[in-house]
Amino acid sequence: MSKHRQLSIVVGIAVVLTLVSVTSASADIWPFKGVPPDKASHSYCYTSSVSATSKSYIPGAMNYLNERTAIPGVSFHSSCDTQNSDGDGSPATDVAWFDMWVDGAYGEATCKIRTASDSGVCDQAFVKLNTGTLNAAARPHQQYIKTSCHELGHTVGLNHYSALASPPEPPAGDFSQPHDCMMSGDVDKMPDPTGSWLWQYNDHHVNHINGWWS
Amino acid sequence: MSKQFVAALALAAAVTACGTSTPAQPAQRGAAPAAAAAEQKGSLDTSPLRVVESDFPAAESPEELAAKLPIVAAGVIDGWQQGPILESYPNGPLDYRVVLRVRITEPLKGVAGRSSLADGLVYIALDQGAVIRDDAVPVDQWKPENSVQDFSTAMPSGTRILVFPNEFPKNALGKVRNTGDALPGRARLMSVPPQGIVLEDPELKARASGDQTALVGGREPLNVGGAAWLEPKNMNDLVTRLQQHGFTE
Repeated sequence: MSKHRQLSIVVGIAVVLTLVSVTSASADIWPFKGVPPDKASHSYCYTSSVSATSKSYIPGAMNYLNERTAIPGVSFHSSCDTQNSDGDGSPATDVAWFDMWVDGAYGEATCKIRTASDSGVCDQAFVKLNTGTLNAAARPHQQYIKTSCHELGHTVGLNHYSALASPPEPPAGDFSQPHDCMMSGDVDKMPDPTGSWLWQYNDHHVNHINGWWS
Repeated sequence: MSKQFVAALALAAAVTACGTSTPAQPAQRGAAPAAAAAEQKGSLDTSPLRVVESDFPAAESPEELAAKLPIVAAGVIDGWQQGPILESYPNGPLDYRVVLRVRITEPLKGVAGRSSLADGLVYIALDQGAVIRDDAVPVDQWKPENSVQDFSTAMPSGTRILVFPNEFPKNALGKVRNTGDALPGRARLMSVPPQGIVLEDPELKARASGDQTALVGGREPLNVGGAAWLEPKNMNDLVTRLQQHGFTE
């Protein structure tokens, strides 16, 4: 095959990929009304509400994200920061963690700052861990691990899925993929409630993350 | 074959796999036909409510959720108003809440005799979404992307609705910078869990077909809890279903 023909095919595939990816993202449409995170490092901080118990789980989730994906670092900010890089020499904190009551859930994530000049991305997400409900879970240790990983996953653009949904939603929209921490709900009602899926993102999800950051 | 060509083929295969979200699968408990399950788009826009991503144990039917919660009421949207504005962390953005007012027409559980609902209205505080960075002003002056009017336009007054609210536990909101529009008398702010709002879409109802529901979820899609949520085809069906399960006042 000539190099010219190969190039034409590659370009053609790239066009098809673009079209396909628009519709195929249904399994992982960006949360927060379709707004993805910014592409810098994914830094984090603790607000004053965060307990020692939560602090024993959050770094594990952050470090796994750093090691498993192409995200350029997950630095810890000792105080939560909204300043842009030209303000204080470091980018705004990407994830502010809270311990806070939320209704009927183990935790939740929301985008809380968007930038007018670049409104297509989320500058900072709030992640709230509902420690009362986590501590009351059938398997609190596993639930803390899964919920920390799950909510952090939302902040890097992953959608969750529900094995209960009708029709049941497969892991990451792909039945060939193993379950991972983006499955919603009580770990005790899921297959293998102490398995490694509690703290992992499957390949499909990692590809979504890396596809955005690359 | 060049490396670029191989890489492009591999990427094509990977991305195409992302799209194969509904391959043939064995029948699963409670699964409804896919055609009936997909959330339909009508005249309501629930996107302003879908700004929070929760990890929650889904109730598998409306009656299961009703059994768990203290209040269940059907009615119509009475309007929207500014809710509390909360502090987040030192020099952090404010965290805005919008309040949904629901005028109760069919009390199903926990309404009768409850002083916080004495005027027949439920006041539900909901996350108003992100604020927009504006470096020209201090961070606590950054404004929310969704105005109260945006919510009102998306889900207008008169829309039929069923809610599963809770009175907020004391201090659950954290530090309040501004209480927002005042509530009357003994009314109290309520919260709802992720499945706690169900709306009837007028356009879907008007074009109702046999197996499609005119109901849509508020904070989460209706189908997240399974097929039982899709069985009622409209609000009357849902109210009747809950009444038949003993939720009536």
